[in-house]
Amino acid sequence: MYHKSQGYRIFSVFNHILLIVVALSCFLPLLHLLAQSFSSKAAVNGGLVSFWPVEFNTDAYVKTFNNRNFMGSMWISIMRTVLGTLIGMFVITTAGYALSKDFRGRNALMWIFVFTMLFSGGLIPSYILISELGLKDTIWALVLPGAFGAYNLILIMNFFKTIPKALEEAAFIDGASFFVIFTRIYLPLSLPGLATIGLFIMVGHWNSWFDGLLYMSTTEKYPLASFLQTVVVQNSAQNVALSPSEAAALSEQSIKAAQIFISTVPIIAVYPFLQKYFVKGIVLGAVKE
Amino acid sequence: MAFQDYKPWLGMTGSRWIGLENFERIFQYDEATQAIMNTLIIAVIKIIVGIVVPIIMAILLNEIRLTGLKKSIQTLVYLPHFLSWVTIAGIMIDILGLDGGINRIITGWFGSEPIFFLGDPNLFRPTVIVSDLWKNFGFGMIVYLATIAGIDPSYYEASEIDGANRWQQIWHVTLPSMLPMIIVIATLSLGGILDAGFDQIFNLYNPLVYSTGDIIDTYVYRSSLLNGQYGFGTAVGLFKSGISLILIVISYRIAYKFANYKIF
Amino acid sequence: MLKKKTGIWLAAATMLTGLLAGCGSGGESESAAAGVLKDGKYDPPVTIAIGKQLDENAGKYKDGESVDDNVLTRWAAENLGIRTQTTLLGGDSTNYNTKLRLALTGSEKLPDLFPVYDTTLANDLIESGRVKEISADIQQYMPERLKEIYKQYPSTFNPVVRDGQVYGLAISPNLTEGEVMLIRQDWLDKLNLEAPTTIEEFETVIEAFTNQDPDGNGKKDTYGFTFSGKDGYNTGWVSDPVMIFSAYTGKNIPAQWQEKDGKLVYGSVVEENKEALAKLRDWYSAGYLNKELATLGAWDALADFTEGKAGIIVGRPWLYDSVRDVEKNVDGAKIAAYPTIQGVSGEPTYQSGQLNDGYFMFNKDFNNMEAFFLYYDKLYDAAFGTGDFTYGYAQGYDYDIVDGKPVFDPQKFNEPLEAVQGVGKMAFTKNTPSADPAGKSYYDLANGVEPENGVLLRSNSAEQTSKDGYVISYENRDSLLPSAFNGPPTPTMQTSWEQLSTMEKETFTKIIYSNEPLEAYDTFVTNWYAKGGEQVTQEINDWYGKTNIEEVMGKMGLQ
Repeated sequence: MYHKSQGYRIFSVFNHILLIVVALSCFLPLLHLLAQSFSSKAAVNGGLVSFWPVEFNTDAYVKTFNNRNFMGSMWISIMRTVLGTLIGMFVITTAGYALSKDFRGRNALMWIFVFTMLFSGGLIPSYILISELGLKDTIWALVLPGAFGAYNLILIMNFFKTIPKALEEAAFIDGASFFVIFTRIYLPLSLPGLATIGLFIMVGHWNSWFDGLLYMSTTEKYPLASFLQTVVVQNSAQNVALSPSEAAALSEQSIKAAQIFISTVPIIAVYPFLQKYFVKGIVLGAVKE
Repeated sequence: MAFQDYKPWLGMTGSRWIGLENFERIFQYDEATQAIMNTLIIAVIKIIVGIVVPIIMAILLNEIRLTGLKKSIQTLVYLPHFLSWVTIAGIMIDILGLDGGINRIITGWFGSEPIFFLGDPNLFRPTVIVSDLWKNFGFGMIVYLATIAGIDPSYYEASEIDGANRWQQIWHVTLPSMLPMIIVIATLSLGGILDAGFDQIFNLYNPLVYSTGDIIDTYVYRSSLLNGQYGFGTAVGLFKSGISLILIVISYRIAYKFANYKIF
Repeated sequence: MLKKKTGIWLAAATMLTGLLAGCGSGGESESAAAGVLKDGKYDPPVTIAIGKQLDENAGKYKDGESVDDNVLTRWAAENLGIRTQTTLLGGDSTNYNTKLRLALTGSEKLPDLFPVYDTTLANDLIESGRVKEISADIQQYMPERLKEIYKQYPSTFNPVVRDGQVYGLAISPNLTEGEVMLIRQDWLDKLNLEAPTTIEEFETVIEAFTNQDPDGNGKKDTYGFTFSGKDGYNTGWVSDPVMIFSAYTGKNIPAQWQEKDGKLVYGSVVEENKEALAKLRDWYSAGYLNKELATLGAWDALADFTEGKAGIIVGRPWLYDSVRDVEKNVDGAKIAAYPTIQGVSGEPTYQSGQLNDGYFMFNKDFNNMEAFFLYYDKLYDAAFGTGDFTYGYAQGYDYDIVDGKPVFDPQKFNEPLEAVQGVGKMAFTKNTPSADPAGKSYYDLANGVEPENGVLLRSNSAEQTSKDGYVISYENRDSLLPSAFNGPPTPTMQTSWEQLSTMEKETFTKIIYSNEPLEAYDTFVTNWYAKGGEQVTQEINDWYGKTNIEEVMGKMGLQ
C-alpha cells in the first residue's frame, strides 16, 4: 500500500505542516486584529501585540458602541441586508422558475440577462440613472440595483431544472396553478440552493461598500462597509471619533481593529450555515446532471 | 454617451457628438494604455494562479487522512472569501505597513530594510496577486475537493493493482477526473480577463503604484469622477465591456465544445 | 397555511418600507426663505445647507460635537439666528471634489453654500447653470470692510466671471506668506559656513552637508537638500525646489503661466529649465539631494529634515513648527530661517503666490445672501479684533485665558488639548479669514509694535524661528507671483492638460535621475507643443487679451 512507503511518509509530514500553516494564515490575521482591539495603546503602538491581547481592556468596544455614526451605519447595513436579501430572493426565484421552463424566446431573454451581467452601463450612467430616479440618499439606491443578479439567477435556474418534471405534471393534474407549484414544490425542494444563494446575497450586501460611497452624500447615510472604508482606507480620523483626551489612552489602531472586527461578526455568525449548504449549492449549480 | 463630449447638465440630447474621438483617446493616452496593460497582466496572472493553486491544494488536502483535521482546514481556508476587501485592506494596511507586523519580522529577524509592499511599484502586483489568492483559493479548492470526492474509488483500486504509486495515481486518475471541472472553471474565468479587481485595488493602491497597479476600472473612476471626463470614462468602460462580452461568448462555445457544458 | 405565510411576509415587507422611509432623503433642507433680520439676528432662525470639506489639520472635535453641532454653530444660532446643516461632506479634498462632482452629475440639489477647490469643477458648475449669479448681492449685502479686502484682489474674480456675470467669491482672499529657506544652523556653524545666497554658495553648502559629516557621527548619512518632485517641481508650500529653477528661469517658474516678451508662456517649457535640470541632475548623482524625491509628496519629504538627515528645506514659515522636532530629537540641532537664494542674473528667485484657496459658490435657488454675508463678516471679527472674537473663536478651543492672560499653546490650556481646534473645523469654511497680508503682524512686531489685539498676541506667541521666517517672507513678498492665468480651463486644457503635466513630471524626474540624457528636455518641449501645448498657449493668450475685470468690479461696487 502506498501510504506505507518511506517516501510517502515524509511527504505526508510535510503535507500536514504545509496545510496547517496555510490554514492558520487564513485565520491568524483576524486573530491579530482581535488581539489589537483588546490591547492597550502602548502595547499596540509599540508593536507588542501578536495574537493575544496585551494589557487587556474593552475600551475600544465601549467607544465603538457609543459612536453614533458607527451604530447608525450598522443599522443601515442591517436594513439593506434584510431588505436586499428579501427582494433579491423574490426576484431571482420567480425569474429563475420561469426561465427553467422552455418557451419561445427563452434563450434570447437569457442572453439579455447575461448581457447585463457583463455589460454594465458604467459608473456615470448608472449614477445618473439612480439620481434621476430620485433614489440617491435613500436605502433603495443600495437595495434595488443589485436585486437582479444574473449569476445567482443562473444558479437558481439550474437548481430548478434538477427537479423532476413528473412532479410538476402530477400537480397540474391535481389542478394546481403555477404559483402553487412554485411555492409548494419548487421552493421547498430546492431549499439548499435557496439557502446558499440567500446567504451569498446577504454576505454581498453586508460587504458592499462602493455603492454607499457613491450614492450617499453624507457619511451619516453610509452603510457599515462604506463607513469602514473611510476609516480604514481613507484614514479619516473623523470617523474614528476619538476626542483628544481619549486619544491619549486609546490607540486609533485598536478602534479600527474593533470596528473591523465587529463588522465581520455577522459574517462569522452565518459562516456555519454557509458552510453547510454552499458546497452542495455551488457544486450542484455548476455541475448539472 | 461614450460618443459624446458629455456634460451632465446638457444631457444626452444637448451634449456634443464627437464620434469615435473618445475611443481614439484610449490609445493615445499613455495612462489609459498603461491601465489596460496592467489590467491584463494582473488579471491573467490571477486567473492562472487562481486555477493552479486550488487544484494543488485540493489534491494535497485530499491526502490528509485525519477527518477532523481535514474538516478544520477546510473550514478555515475559505473564511477569507467571505470577508469584504475593505476588511482585508484594513488588515493588510496594518500588517504590511512600514512598521507593521511583517516588516517587524523582516527587520527583526533578517536585519534588512523594511519593505514597502503597498508603495513600491515593483511589489504592488505580487502583493495584489498573493492577497487575492489568499482570499479566494479556499473557495476554488472546495469545488475541486468535491470533484475528487466524487471520483469512483474503483479507479484507484484498479490502478493500485496495476502497481501505481500515489504520484502515478494522482497523475493518471485524479487529475484526468478533475479535468472537465478545470476546463469549466478556466473558461468561465476567461470572461473576467479584464476584471483585475476594482474592490481590491481601489482599497490598496495609491499614486505611487499607478504605474503598475492602476487598472481600467480605477482609471475610469478617476477620469470620470475626479476629472469630469464623463464621455471618455464611459468609453473606456464600454471598451472593456465589449472585450469581456466577446470573451464570454468564446468561453461559452469552448465550454460547450470541450466539456459538453452549457453554462445556461 | 400558505396564505398565512404570505401575509406575514407582506406585513414584514410593509413594516420595513415604513421604517426605511424614515432614513430616506431627510437630509435635504429647505433653503433659508423665512426669517426676518432684526437687530442683527434672524427670527425665526434661518437654516443654510452647506457643503463642507473637513479640515483634518484643525484639531479634533470635543466629545459630542460635530460639524453641525459645535461651539461656533451654537454661537451662530444663538447670536445670529443662523443654523448651518451639512448636506454634502467630504473628508479630504479628493473626497470632497468627488462628492461635489457627483452632485453636479446627478439631478439632486446642490447645497445653498459650498466651497469649490478645483477650477475645472468650478467651470463645470458655472456651465451647468446651477449656481447663482451674485454681483448684485455683493454690491448690496457685502459689508464695507469686506469690500475693502476684495477690492485689493480683483484678479481673484477671473475664474468665476463669465460674460460679465459673477458666479462665485474667492474664499478669504489674501496674499499668502512666501517661502523661506530653513537651514540647520548648527551644521553651518560646525563647518564654518555662511548661509548661501547664490547658486554657487548653495552648491558649496549642500556639498559640505553631504561630504563633511556635519552631524559628526563618522558616518556618511547626511545630505544637503530635501524637496518633493512627486506632484511637480513647484509645490508652492513646503519641500519646494522652485527656487533652483527660478535661479535660471527668473519669473518663468515651472508649472505657472507668466508674461514673457508680452506673451504668456508656460514656465516649464522655457529654455533655461535645462540648466536647472542639469544642475539638479549633477547634485542628485553626487548624493546632495533626497534619494527618493520623485516618490515623496511634499509632506513626506520633510521627514528627512525632521530626522536630522537633510540640512536644507524650503517652505512657508510655519514649516518650522512641523520640522522643529529635529531640535528635540538631535542634540544641539538648531534651525534658522533665511531668505531664498538669488538667481544667476542677480535677481531674486521667484515663487508661486497664492491669493485664495477656492471659491464660495451658491445654489441658484438660494435667496438669503444677506444671511451669508452677516455670518461671513462675523468670522472676520477675529482678524479685525472686533466683536465677540477678540482672541480667537472660542475659549478652550483655539485659545484660552489662563491667569487672566490669553494663551495660544493648546498644551497650556486649562484643559490641555493635543492641538487647537481651528475655525476650519467649526465654521462653514475651512479657511481662516485674515485681513492683512500674511506675515504683516510679525513684521509689525519685529518693528516694535506692541502686541495689543488678538492677531498680534497670537503671532507674538509663536516660536522665534517662525517669527523670523514670517518677517523674512513679508519683506520679500515682491518675489511672490500669482499665476498670470487663473481663468477657467480652456477647451484644449480640459482634454489634454493632464497628459501634458504627466509628461512634464516624468521628463523632469527622468533627467534628474539620469535615466534620460539632458537632451530629453528638448524633445519634451517639442512634444509638449505638438500634443496640445501650442493650442493651450494660444487659448490662454486669447483669454489674457480679453480679460476685463474692471467693469465687473464696478458692477459689484468694488472700485
